[in-house]
Amino acid sequence: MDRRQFLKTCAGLCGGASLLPFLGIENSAEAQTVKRGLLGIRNSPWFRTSARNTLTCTLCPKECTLSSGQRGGCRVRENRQGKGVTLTYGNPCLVQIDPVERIPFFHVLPASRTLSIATAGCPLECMFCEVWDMALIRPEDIHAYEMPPAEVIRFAQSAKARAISYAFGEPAAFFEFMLDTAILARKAGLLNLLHTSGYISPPALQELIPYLDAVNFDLKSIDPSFYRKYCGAPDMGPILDNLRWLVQARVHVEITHIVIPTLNDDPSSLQRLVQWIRTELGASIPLHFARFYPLYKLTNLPPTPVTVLENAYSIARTAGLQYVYLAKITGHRTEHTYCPRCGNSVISRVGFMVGKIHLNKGRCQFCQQAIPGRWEP
Amino acid sequence: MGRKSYLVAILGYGFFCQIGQAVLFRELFTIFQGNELSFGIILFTWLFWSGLGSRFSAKRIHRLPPYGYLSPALLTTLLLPLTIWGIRILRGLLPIPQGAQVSLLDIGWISFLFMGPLCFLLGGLFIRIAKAWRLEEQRLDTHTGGKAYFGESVGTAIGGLGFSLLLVRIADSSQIVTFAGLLFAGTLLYTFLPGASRNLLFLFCFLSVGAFILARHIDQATHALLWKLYAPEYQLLRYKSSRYGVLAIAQRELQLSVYQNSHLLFTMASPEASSSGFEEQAALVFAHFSLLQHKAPQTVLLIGGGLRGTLRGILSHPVQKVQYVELDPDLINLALPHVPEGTKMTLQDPRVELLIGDGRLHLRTTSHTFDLVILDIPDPTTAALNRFFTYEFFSLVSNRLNPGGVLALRTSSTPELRLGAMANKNATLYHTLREVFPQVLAVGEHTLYLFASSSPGNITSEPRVLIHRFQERGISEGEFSPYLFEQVLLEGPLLRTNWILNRHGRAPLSLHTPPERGPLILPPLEEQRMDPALQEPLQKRYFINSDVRPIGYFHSVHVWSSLTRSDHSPLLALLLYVQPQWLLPFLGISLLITLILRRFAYRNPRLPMGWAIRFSVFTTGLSTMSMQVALLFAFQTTYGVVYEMVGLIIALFMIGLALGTFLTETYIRKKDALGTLALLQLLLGSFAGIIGLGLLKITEIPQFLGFAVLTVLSGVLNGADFPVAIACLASLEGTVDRAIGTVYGIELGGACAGCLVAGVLIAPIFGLDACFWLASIANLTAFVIVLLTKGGGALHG
Repeated sequence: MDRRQFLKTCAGLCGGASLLPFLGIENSAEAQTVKRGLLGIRNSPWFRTSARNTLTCTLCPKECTLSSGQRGGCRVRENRQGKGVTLTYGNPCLVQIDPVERIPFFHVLPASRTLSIATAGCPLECMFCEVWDMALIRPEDIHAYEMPPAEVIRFAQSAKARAISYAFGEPAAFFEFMLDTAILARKAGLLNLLHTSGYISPPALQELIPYLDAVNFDLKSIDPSFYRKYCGAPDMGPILDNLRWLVQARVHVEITHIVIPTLNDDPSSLQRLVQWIRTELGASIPLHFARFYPLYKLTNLPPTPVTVLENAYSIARTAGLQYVYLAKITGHRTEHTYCPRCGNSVISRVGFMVGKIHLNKGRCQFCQQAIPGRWEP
Repeated sequence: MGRKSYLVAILGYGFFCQIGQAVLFRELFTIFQGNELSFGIILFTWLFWSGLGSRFSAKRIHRLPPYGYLSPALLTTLLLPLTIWGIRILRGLLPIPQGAQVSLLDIGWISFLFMGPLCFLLGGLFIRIAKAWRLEEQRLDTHTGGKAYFGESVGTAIGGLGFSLLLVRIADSSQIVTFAGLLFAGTLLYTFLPGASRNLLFLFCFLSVGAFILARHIDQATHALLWKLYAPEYQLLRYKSSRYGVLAIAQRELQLSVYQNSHLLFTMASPEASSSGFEEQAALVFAHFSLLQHKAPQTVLLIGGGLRGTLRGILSHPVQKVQYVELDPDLINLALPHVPEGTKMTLQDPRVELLIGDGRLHLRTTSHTFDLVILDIPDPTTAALNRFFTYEFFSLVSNRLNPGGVLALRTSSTPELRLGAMANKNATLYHTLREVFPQVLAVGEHTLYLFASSSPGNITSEPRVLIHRFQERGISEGEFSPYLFEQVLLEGPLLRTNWILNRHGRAPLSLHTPPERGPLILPPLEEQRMDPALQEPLQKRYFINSDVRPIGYFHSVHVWSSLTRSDHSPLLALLLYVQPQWLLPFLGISLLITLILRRFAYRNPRLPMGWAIRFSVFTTGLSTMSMQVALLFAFQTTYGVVYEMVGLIIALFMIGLALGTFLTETYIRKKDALGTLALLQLLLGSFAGIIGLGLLKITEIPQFLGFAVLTVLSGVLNGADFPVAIACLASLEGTVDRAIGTVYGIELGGACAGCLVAGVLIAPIFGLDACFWLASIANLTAFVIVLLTKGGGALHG
């Protein structure tokens, strides 16, 4: 081969490569760009002008007032020269395939896979946060993937996931990214699953609701002072209202309540919690009592005693709640789903692992009782 | 009154100081949940306030009444127990939520506030007693200063030995400080009122006995109050001041929590619990996970953790022999009456041999070999714990494993190790293991399990293999399901954790930045091991934990700081930027100051010499403490956390101190003091330099005698310096008492600096050898400075 032929060959190869994206053959390297301090900056409609050069973020109840250059308490929303921006658009730092039970959803597509995404940032600052090294961090201090909404969908489909989960962080922190992804996911036939503390402004939630298929609501307490003392929030804000609206909108809701020794595990607190759920939301809302393990700023507190959790289970069942689970006690009998009518196990589990399923189109195979949930895509 | 009576007083003073320091340290260590940084800060605070008190008294010594030390001395005997009780009650009143860690800021202000009055008074007392003694002997020279230092050293040595070998075993903290206070008060009365009537002495003895008995009740009451304020929902069942810390066992619901120094060690089910398996699930997971990493383990060594359920999990496998090593017998004695029946039975199982002692020392001395070694101990937040996570320890384990044997350990972690400090800590453990074992597997999210073996074929990340082994062994599931391994070994987190740990520590900026994430889809573990990126060399200085460079505990303390309410982890992160050569400008500045002062000596001829003497005293304190830190680290590494021996080492240092003082007391009468001072700096610098050069590998000293000799020698050199420096300064500035106070205060200041710098920065980040280098360079610089100023004339003692 002479020099002219060599150059022609190279040119041809380069030209061919540049056509690849148009031919639908992805360049996987681009899709997986990961970088420290990757910011996904996008203008956000969730700000209002409050004074000259001052904006108020309206996405969460804290309503941080930001002068130019200032960032909100969540660390990911900023007033940039008079424009309110989010810094977490298309830059998730967590992208992983999970069993849906891990989110946790026990009444949604059992034994299926979901693509979970999360970014840095959170409006709360819980002392018992399990993902503090991701949620309570500025996006500049963490590695993130460059992954716009379309890429999220594509990746989920290639991994044969049946849903997208906005979980493990606080999705309110990446609301705009989540909303756009959820819209695309709905079009692609993927379910949208949300795990949230509910600390988000009602209008924002209302905008999201049409695209949600299931929500796991992290209800930390029924007592506003708990949020003040241990979660870095002035009060509960509209958390309980948000929960009601979700149920009223017929989004499938499951509630997780972390039981923390001495902080919120006394029987009266638990009683008030389950009574509220029973009265306001109904008996068929699945409730997960999660065991606390020492971490983050409470590393010197013992794990929740198992008897306390079992007592919580009894309180909830006595109050009439039909689907109660104890989370993070792997192998406990309360991990299974039981039919509230005949008492048979309709879904058996060990941790995230699903065993036998005795459901037929969402009904108990033994007595045909309808079990609430999202059983079909 | 005579010389002997003042000697008695100063002995009592030394004894009281040592006891007070030991007990106060234990109490504060308990409040601060016992990590190495808190120890360094407590010691720094003690030395700071003592030095300040000494300087204060020195400046005002002429205005103080000659025998007016009695009131402040008696005040300290009351202040010590009050300080201790106050500290206990304070913990319950602090606005720190139960379960939260005490932060660096909290440690700082609590130490400063509580130790201030007592240490300030104690620091000043030395000067005042020395002055009174000098006046009594009607001397104008510095000999009584030297004798006072000698007496204090001997008293400290007796106090240290008495505390470590006797008092801590037979009495609680309140009784110990009451005893020490009464003894000190008694020596003062003997000195001040030698003609005391029998009635007065009889009354004193009667009150002493009563106080001693009352102290026990007060101790129990303050402990109970502490728990009532700190954790009102928990019922304190028992507590015990053991040699290794304050142990407490508390109950809530059907769960027992065991604490050491207010740090949660583990929880277990109470005997009333119908089944303990779920309560102790974390321990069972670790036990089963470890045992199943070996195809057929027969002999197991378990270090720590036996009472929390790990031993029970081990015994459910068909093993033949388990050696369970627990350091603190008081832990077993305290917990045993309260543990579930199943746990009691494990200790009675004929396959189990319970050994009390240090696990590392046991491994060094035993002739047994094992299929499995399980390390079930807390994170390496102290130098004593760090010894179990070093290259040398892992090598020791490797030599004690049978072919195909496995080492299993655990450490705290976070999913995907996003926090830089956490990644540094766990990558250090991972790489240190890889230096010894070719096969290492890391698994887990909030708890990272590490399994290591020299042979392939045993360790596996396949949950099905583990489930199969579990079923093959016929273990009854009960409250543990082997299908849990499907959860623990989820592919995504498993691949990412190993990818991160393999790579972190290789890039130049690894230490200061969070770890890389890697692509979304990661290759399998086998492919990861062949990744060319792993050819990049590891930054061993920061990512290999060794006995001589215990970086592991620094990383752990760095993680701890990020979990406290006032996060000072960025401050600690800055320390990682420090380079050894940064020390040189400080020394250069010192030399420059010397030259400038010499240049302008015509204005004040005393200035350069005064500066040189003060500088050399400071460096003596700094270098001696720096060497002591390194010697104690090295001693613990070799001999383990044997409490009595550590107390003996400290006592030996004080004996060396006393000996050095005694030797020069005679020598300096006739010789040029400044020349002697220079010579001592040269000797100290050379001594430290020899060890720093590695000619004496301190962690390889096999016999206790070797440590003893080194410790005594460093004490002798330090002790020799004190009277010489006093003589120089008194000769230069004409005031004996002020010279004593000044030298004492500056030396304490140097020790203060040495403790903090060596303990927090030099030892973990640069290594134990660097502590000796620091000492050597500092003393040799002082030698040069003294020589430069010596041209102004000789000084005599």
